[in-house]
Amino acid sequence: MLKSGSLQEKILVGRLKLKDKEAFSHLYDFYLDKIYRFIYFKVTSVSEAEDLTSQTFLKIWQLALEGKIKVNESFQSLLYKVARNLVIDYYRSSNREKNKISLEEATHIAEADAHLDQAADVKIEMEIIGRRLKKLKSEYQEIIILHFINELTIKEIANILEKKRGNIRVTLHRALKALRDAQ
Amino acid sequence: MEKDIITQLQSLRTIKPKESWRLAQKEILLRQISSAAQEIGARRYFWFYLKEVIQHEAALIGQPIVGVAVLILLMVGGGVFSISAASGATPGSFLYTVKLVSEKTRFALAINSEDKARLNVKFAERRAEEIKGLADKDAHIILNEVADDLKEEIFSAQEQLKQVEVNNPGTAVDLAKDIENKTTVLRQKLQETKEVLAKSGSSANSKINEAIRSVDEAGLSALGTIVKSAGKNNTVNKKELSQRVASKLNITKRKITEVQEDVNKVFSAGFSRSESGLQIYQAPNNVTDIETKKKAEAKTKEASKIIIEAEQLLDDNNYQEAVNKITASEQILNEAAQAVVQKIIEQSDETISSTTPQVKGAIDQLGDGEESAESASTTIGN
Repeated sequence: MLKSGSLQEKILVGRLKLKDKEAFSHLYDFYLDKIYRFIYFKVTSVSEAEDLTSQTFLKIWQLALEGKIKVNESFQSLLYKVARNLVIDYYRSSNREKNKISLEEATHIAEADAHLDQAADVKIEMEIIGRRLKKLKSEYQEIIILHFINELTIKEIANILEKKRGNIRVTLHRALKALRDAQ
Repeated sequence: MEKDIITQLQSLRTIKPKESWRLAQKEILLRQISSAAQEIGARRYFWFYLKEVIQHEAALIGQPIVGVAVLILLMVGGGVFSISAASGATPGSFLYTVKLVSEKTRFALAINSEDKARLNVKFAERRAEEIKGLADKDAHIILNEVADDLKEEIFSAQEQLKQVEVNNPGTAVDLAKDIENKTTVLRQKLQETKEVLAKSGSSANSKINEAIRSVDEAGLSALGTIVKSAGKNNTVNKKELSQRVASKLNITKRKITEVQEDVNKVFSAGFSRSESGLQIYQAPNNVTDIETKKKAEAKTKEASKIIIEAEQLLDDNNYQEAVNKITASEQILNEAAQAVVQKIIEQSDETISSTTPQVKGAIDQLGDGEESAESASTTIGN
């Protein structure tokens, strides 16, 4: 199993730099869910989340063609930065209202094989927390998604958001408090 | 409370894009980028990584541990060129070992089960080619070893597919289709080799039979994955599914006929020419042989009956049950085939243990008629 920052990933990024389609395909498979989730909570519909996710990977390929991908730098950070910028551009260009994604869409979840009642409970819980997360301001939202949902470390988040680690810790603490207070 | 909220947040990890979108989008993206994509050779990788090390880690090279790492890189780089030279090596040569080691390394470095399965199939195809070459050269001892390697590769591919099915069901269908297609070609190639070996009456034929059985098993298992997935979503159309199941069904039917013929031949009196001269098949003149023959015949009949049921299920478009029946039929048939193989081994042992004058004497007594076969085999047995 591929891991972020591992030697295997570096080899794949090296191959991507050499315009290797297969390496691109592996990196796409590995990061697709994470990037999709990251964008998902920031846009208004599933189709927009899908569209921006595709654009993120296409942008990565363009960067590879332009020789702007560096093997010794975190590929994961680059991906999130590209995704983040695309979301910002998306709001700038269209003046859209943020986070109006419907709950029906928000709970488009890969169904577990668990018992139906149990699955329904989980779905309701997820709807509630998803709704609360969407009420948070963008800064809090992305830090929570990155740390608690996409499992990135404080160091990795600091690298993506280009902030100091201490700053990230404080923001994360505030974001959690805001999430608890959100109704 | 905080722990609870974190647990709830973690449950959002199950949010994923739709599987159909994921597959379709990947295909679109790969099509979009393919015009600018390049095929990368091992040599280019080597120089690329060397350049990267020099560019970014130059200051570190002075440190002992990095120095050793660079040395290893250079050694591995040297290995790349040796491997490239070894790629055409044939079994038994020194470079063949290099080729096998390079394959093992590639397998170990493969990113996921899907890649590993594809490598297994690729290596199995290489083994099949090597077996073909060895059969032409009459190098039957090495051939047996290569056939065992082929079986291992195929078994591993089957196992990797099972893992992909669990961990990444979206890609499992494509992989299963690929394995199913390639095992069909592989079977054809092994069958051709088997025919070449049969002409020379080689004992290596039983190894090829084992390899064919492994290949069939992997193909059937891959078909099971395709059918299962088709039941859950519409990734495979009915026509394709029907063709795939029908093709497997026909193979099993052919195998039943072959095993029936083998049972009749091996457990009956007769003789044929082989690489070791004239071979005499002993008639089932003892209780054990008669019992074994009866059991083998009963098993082929049972396998035949099950395959008819599979045909009916296929007509009713019940693919899953049809595949289950084919698998059951194959398993029973394998038991019958095993009895034939056992008998052939016993016969060859008896032929070896008999002294040449006794065999010659028996042949003299045989004459042309089949009636004298039984008395001839008794002479050998004595």
